[in-house]
Amino acid sequence: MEPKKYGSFLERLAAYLFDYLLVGLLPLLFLFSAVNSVNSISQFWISGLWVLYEIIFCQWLVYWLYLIFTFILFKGSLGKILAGLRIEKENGQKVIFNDALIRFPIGYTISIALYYLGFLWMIKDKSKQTIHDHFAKTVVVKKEASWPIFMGLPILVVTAVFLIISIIRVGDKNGLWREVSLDLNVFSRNVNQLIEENNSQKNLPVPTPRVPVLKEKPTGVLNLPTP
Amino acid sequence: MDYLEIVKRSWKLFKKNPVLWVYGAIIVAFGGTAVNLSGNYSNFSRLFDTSKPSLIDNDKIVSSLSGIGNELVKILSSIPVSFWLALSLGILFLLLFGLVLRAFIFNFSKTAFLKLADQAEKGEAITLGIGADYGLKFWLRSFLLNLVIGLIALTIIMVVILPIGLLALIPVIGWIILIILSLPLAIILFGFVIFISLWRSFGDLVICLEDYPLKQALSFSFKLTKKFFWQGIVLSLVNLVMGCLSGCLSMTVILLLGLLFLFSLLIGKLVGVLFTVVIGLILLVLVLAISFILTIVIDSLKTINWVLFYNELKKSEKYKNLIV
Repeated sequence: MEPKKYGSFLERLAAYLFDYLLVGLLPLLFLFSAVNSVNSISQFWISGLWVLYEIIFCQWLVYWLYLIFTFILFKGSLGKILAGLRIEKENGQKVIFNDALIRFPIGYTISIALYYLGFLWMIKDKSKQTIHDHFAKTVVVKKEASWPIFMGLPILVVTAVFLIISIIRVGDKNGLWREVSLDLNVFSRNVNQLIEENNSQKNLPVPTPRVPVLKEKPTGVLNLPTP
Repeated sequence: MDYLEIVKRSWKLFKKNPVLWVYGAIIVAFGGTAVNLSGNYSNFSRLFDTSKPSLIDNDKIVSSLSGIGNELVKILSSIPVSFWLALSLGILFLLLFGLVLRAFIFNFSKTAFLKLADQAEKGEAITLGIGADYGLKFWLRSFLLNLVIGLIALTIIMVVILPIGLLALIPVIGWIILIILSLPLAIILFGFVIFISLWRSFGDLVICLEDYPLKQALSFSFKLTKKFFWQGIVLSLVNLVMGCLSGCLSMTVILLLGLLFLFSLLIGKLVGVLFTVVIGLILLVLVLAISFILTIVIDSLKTINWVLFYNELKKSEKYKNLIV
């Protein structure tokens, strides 16, 4: 039997970044870009973009569900498939939902909580297994050539950079936040005007205080009653 | 029982088995409103000649602020209620999921560690995968055991302490009785807390090392706690001393790194602020890393101490009588 060829650290890292960009970061950037393209709150609600905001909160859940179901159905996520990698059980058995649950939400959380050392564990491991691989008793084997991931990942990165630039460029000229920022400008204009007025008053002479004027000058003579 | 020997053996076991480092590390890793300012402020009282304007007129500032406030209120009130409901449910779900995940991972790694330490002591091979299997097998029992013991403790405290606390409502006589009872009560409470803690420790050991079901584990660990209470306290003291020593060690390290930072501040005055910032960040990372590693080592050693202590107890006649 041919010895298994395991996925290298670079290939797995590229696959991980691809999945993270595709499922995690790109939708978020797309959303921000879309939000900046509407001019008012009513447009925002009518266009249904608020639904995407709801998804953001469950983004982590969407990411895990994506990893779990691609693992069960295709033995690996899209990133891993593009990298020519597949996830298999150590004993060659079929993967089940429990294995996916242990590997992804639990195993990934532990690997990340240990300052990502769980991922780096594979560097010194004989079978190139990470800590979450050990928990789920899985190995990542190389089945095909990995060049597609090294094309797909740069394309995604360029798309992400393009979206970031479009958000920055569009943000201050257009968009939903213009409604709020307008009032802030009005406020700063008023304050500056007040400061100018105040400064111009400093050149006026100091006004004299009003003092009460006595009607009679005191004589210094006491009028005592005579016995 | 030779407690020093237990500590030495714990250190040897921990040093030889990197798998225990991983599970030890996992155990350690897991412990706008809209303001409407539309109120009208009066001008400052005019002290001088009324033909001149006052020093500051607040009306324009206030009207601008109220404009922003109104705008924020408009934005927030235009968001439908369903959004706020979905958001709250999302946050609640996130919190609950986080709590459940944390509880699972903590119990999973703790039970795996206990069983692996026992196997390593018997000379058997241990791996991360084997530990994961044991963790999955025992985590729920351990979680429920700790929950049940916690609830029992809480109930006893409420039933006993609360009525005594009510004495505070009776003036003079009640207070005098409370003052007299305070010292013996504090001693009893302290002893009770230690008993509960020992019960939990024995419970986890009995579940992982003997594979007892929950009910049996609860009753047997209670008997063990009663029988070996004082030995348990001595081991807890040994663990406490180890903890204090590690605390002193980490303080020493932090002080040394602090001195280095002060030294870098002096150099920074000559070279530039960036030098101090970089050195400061490096030293901060070092402090965190060293504290984390020390905590892993000490907590793992304390746990292994318990496993070896339990195995020593098993050899005694008192333990054999309990089983019979």
